[in-house]
Amino acid sequence: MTPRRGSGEGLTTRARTLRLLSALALLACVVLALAALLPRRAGAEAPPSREPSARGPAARVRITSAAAPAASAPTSDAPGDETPASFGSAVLEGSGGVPMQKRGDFRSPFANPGWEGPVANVKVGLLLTRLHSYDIKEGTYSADFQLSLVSDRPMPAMNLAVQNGNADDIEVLAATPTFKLYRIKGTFFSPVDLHDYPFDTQELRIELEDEAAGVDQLRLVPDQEHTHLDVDFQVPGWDVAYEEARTKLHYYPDRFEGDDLYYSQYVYKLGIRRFATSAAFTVYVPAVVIVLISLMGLWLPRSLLEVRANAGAPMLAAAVLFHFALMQELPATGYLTRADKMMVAVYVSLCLNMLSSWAWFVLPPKYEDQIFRLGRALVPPVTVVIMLIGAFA
Amino acid sequence: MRVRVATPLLLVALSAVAGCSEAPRVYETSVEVRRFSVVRRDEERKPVTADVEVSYADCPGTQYEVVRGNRAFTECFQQHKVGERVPLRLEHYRGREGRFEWVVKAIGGCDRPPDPNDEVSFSVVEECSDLVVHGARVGFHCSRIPEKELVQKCPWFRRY
Repeated sequence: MTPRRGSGEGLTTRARTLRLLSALALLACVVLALAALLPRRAGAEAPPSREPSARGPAARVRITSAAAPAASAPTSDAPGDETPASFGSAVLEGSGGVPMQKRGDFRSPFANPGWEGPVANVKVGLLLTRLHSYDIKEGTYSADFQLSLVSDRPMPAMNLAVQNGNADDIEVLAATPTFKLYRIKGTFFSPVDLHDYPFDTQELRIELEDEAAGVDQLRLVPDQEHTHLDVDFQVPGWDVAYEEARTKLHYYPDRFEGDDLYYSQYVYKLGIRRFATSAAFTVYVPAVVIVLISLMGLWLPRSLLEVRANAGAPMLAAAVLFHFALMQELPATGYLTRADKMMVAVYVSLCLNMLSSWAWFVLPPKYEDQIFRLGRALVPPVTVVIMLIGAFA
Repeated sequence: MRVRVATPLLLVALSAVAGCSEAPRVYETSVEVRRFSVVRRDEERKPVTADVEVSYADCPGTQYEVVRGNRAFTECFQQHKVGERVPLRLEHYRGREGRFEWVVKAIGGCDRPPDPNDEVSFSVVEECSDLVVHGARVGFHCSRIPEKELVQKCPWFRRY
């Protein structure tokens, strides 16, 4: 009786070589997959960098107005001395330390109890004219917008500063005590959320805060009627999902004794959503095609093992390369994106497919036909279930 | 056997083609005129083009549109006043970018032929709500993706 091809004891040299090559191919794929995943996961431990939010000259650009009232404008007693005027009313207790206010609601020397009258409520309107150069890997983008400030009473000297980036160009279009209009171009930063990638929605923020005036002088109020996107505003590759504006009373962790002053911060948010069709074709279609091609091998009998093997290992390599290419576009994350989950499903499906071929080498030859039939009957539906879990998990 | 396989495939293909080439739909609704501005005049100071701003008062949320029209439209529309409610006819179709779009064809009984080179007409479709944190209103949130309720009542705002 002629030994069956590939049977346990009757393995020919060629079959042994094929088996060895298959094992090596799998090993290479696994190493490639790990190599592709490791750098990203290692980077995930470090949170994405963010512009410093501490109040310091390097982090801020002033939006000042020459026509602003000088009630609380910074004084300059000595060259390089930018001590606020409010410090004049702060009292130094003892021989040293931080001077503190004795009047008003706040002890901070930056508070201004000498500010006459009630707090100026300033309505903030924003017209976003252009947003471009969005780099999702860095979370940075450039924006051009016009900012209007309208108050019910004269504003203090406005020193609005960008909190999450840099204002590269500021043009003062109007500056009266109760109305100011600026045109601002700048570069901003927002953290990215990739949980739903490639069906993700990103939130791009513009944060403004007065550098000098606390809530004892100034309260910013979002002006819904005058917050808009310009005509034909668009972000290439993205759909505008929402607009939001809010103010928050910003309290800094104590920087010195008596640091109790709150600052009114204006935050504008633009939600942009990736086009779903593009996302599906970029990520899901290639992944499904890779799995479909590998499934075709299930219909090849053992006599065509070489051809069948070519529908498995190369597809695994293709999947790893595809996944690697996807990850190059994204920053490090501490979680799996939807695309990652989909790719994990692809890896599992491909491994399942390859296992159905390896079973011929592991199990006794008498099961050859059963393995072939079971592989065709079980692997495709199980693959569908795995892919569905990967897509919707 | 071939027929059994081919028939469903053919049906799927036909459905896909039919789905992609959806015919434009015409809707009629009532809008409120918010603004009428002549933007260009000829040498005899006769209006050539005008902007009409209308709000879709019957639709939930804040939906308004600025429509620019030609000379005939401008002359015709002068009979209407700001604040008046007028009928509006529009066509809803699938645009080149794969999303549904609409174009206003007539307002207040005045035909408004669209111009493919018109870059100034625009619409704002948003549903806004107060942003409340710990019981205090701190701002607002405006969704730009039409909600189900809006699309049910005013189907031409459907984008996908």
